[in-house]
Amino acid sequence: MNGPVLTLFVALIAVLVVIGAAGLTWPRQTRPMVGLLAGMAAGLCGMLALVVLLLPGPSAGLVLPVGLPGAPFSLAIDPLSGGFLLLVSIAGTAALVFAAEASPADQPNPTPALAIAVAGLLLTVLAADGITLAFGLVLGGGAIWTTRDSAASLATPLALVLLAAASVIVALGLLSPAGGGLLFPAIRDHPPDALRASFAVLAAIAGMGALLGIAPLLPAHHALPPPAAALLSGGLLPAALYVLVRILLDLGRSAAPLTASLPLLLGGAVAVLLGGYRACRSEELDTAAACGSVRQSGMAAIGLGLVLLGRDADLPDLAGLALSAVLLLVAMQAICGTLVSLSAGAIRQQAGTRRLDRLGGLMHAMPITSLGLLAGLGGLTGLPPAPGFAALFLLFQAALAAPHWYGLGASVLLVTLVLLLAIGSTLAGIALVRLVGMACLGRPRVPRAAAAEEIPSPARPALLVPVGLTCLLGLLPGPAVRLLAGGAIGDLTGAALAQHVGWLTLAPGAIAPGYAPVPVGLLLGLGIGGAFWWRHRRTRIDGRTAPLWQDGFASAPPWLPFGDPVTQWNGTVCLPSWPAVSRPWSKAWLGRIHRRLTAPALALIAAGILLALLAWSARP
Amino acid sequence: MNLLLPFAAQCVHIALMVLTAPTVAGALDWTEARLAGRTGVSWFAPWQELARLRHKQPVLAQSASPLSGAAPLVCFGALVLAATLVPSFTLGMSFAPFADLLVIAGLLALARTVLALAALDDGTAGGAIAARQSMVLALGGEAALLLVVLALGLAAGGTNLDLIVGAAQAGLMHPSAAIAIAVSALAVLAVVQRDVGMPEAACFSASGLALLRLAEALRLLLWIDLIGAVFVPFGMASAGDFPAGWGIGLVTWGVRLALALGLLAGLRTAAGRFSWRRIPVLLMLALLLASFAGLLALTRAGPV
Repeated sequence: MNGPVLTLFVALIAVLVVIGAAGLTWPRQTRPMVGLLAGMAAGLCGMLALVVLLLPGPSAGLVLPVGLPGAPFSLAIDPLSGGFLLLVSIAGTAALVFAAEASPADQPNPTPALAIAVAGLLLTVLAADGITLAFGLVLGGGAIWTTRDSAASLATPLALVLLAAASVIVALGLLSPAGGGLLFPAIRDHPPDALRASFAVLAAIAGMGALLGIAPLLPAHHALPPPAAALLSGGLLPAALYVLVRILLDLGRSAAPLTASLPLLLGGAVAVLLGGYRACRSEELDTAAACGSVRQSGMAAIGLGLVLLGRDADLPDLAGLALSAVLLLVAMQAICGTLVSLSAGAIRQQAGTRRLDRLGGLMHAMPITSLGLLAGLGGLTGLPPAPGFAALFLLFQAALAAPHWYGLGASVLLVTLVLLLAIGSTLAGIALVRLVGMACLGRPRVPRAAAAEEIPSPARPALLVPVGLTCLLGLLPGPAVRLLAGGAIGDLTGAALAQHVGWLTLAPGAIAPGYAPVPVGLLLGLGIGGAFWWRHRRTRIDGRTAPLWQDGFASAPPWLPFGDPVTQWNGTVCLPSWPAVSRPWSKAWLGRIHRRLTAPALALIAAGILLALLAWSARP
Repeated sequence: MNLLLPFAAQCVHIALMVLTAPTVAGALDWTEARLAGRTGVSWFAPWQELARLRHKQPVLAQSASPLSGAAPLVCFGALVLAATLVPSFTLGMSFAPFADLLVIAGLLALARTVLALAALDDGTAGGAIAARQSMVLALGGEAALLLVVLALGLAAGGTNLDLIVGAAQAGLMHPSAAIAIAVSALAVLAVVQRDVGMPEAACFSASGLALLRLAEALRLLLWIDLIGAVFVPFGMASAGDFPAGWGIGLVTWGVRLALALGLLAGLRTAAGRFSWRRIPVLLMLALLLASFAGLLALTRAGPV
């Protein structure tokens, strides 16, 4: 079954590229049609991925008649790639439908570039050799960044993507046997020695870590249109995590697990803390949403570190729990991350600003977008029955099952990790309260935000479908994990998945079923229903609305129609400020290098490195 | 019979929690007043307050969204579910398999987050200040609570509350010092919760406010039960041990409750109410204690 499906995937990727390329040359008025066609193609890719997941079969491969001389593109479908294909397709479809239906008429429509980006990301996940994987990454990442505002520089983000691709080439070059041509089957058949594999894995972590941790924080991210930012968050970041999982757990099996585990745990901890902190301090809605992506990537990195720790200690249960958590986090990033970015972008478009202190009261004017923002941010938090809680639960159980025999240092690290997971989860909750509270609740702060309108009806499914998927993911995390990577978790960790992820429970123990979201959700519903009944039992008192009590402030003058600004929270101070750190380039010689290392120079250097690596990888 | 008694015990537990929570809150206020040399109001004053509030007309701010109406319901629902999962007089009730400490911590966080959102829905400075206070409390409190869960989970071999209480009853929780420190952290958190209360309640009126008052009382009872169940789990029988076990369990639960009320009231009388500026210090103390408990439990735990 997988063979014909792979052929259909290739056909759909070609269709996406053709639609995108043609859309670039067609008149601007046809862009919505281009977006819808590309959205349908991406949706079909998602359905094909579902077929792969529901009817599992043996892995299938395909060599395309295109590629580098002597190194044609090689593709394959296996249990791991199926789930990621589904997630990238969902993010791509939502972004393309939104781009087609909700892009402002007076601004460049990004649909053609996004169609090419979705094709590139799908190619990344389907790749069965290093060249195809790097090409897909560059195509996907590059096409996303080309949609930015012309005022923003393209060089730095492009350099980042090129360096990530270069790191992949280095990693796979180190892993592949001589003459293997970076093909995955050759690497699996002839694994390298532990030292080479460890260096390869470290190179992959460095490249993908930079992409995951820095890309959402680049200044150019501000200049991306909403659907492009959504595809970056929900498509590129999951694809980068897929590359990490593929290299760390599949191709680089022979590497010493602890070599990679420590950088992942430490880097993940830093990303969780900094991403969460910045999300709570940022003064702009979309920047805060992007920082949330960094926090999410950090949690996934911690999960991957725990998987490797379990592999090192020969504890397949620990590795299985942690990998299940990682896959749930990736699914959340693809669905909730897309939802948050699209909602934040819709608010930016319709309310004319991204600044939190100029928003407010959008729950009345833009109820569906507000619901999207609430559901997306709520899904990322560790509050039951959100999917974020299921992921946190699995990560916590994995930390609990972690080996204790590495000594005091490791114990301190483990306690710190749990502390950071808790803080990261709380910071996600604070970000939810702050962003939804500032943008959607309360009173409008400026007339422009008060005049905001809901996005057009045809674009609303791009928000409502992910909202529904978030609810499903929260209530049924077990089936979701089993669907996305049921076979892959067993293959990669040796764990029996059914022992850790049941249909209705997560991490069941010998006498307790662990976390059971459906009963918890039902009991919560019963409690809410009981309160509702008590509130309305035998009382028929209708509520009334009244003007605000301004806490003793005098009434606002007529020229402040939304009240005195001092009577509303400006949201700028939520957490204590970070201690100032002197920048390393304050020193003279570092400053000189920093000045010369302009963005175009960086892009040129990265492209040069990539070319050199390609030449090296093509060695006989 | 095997299913009926646990279900009956669960129903009795829910009824006990909901019906005694306001009375316990009233008793605590009365004890504090007596210790301070005042007469104090009746134990049942909270019930009178609930009845009064329920018959008042709700007033909503002009800018309020449907969230303001739903928040008290969700907050109450989350806290009543959390209280349902914490055992009081028996173990092995119907919902015991779902009584994971992480779920209970998550439900407490859910109640706090929904209330903070609703406080911002008013669009007033007072609501925003209340929401910010609540979030600062969450930052230290939830982290400390999860570290306590780590310590207890390591000592008992799982995070299910019935499992933890069973292990504590059997004396299988090791090292004891970690458990004692973890429970101290829980106690500090309980004191903080008691002192801070629900600052967002000022944004609600009538039946919504009544629900929040009931939820606040439930949260106090939940903390008392949680600390009591982990630290002094004596007398808690199996749900199937009816009627003798239930009777002993109810009596010991009453004793635990009385002890906790005495300690809380005594602390308030001796140390006074902690001001908002001292709350972060208390939270840091809870965090330090919880970290130390986790570290101790990890270093003393044997190989998996």
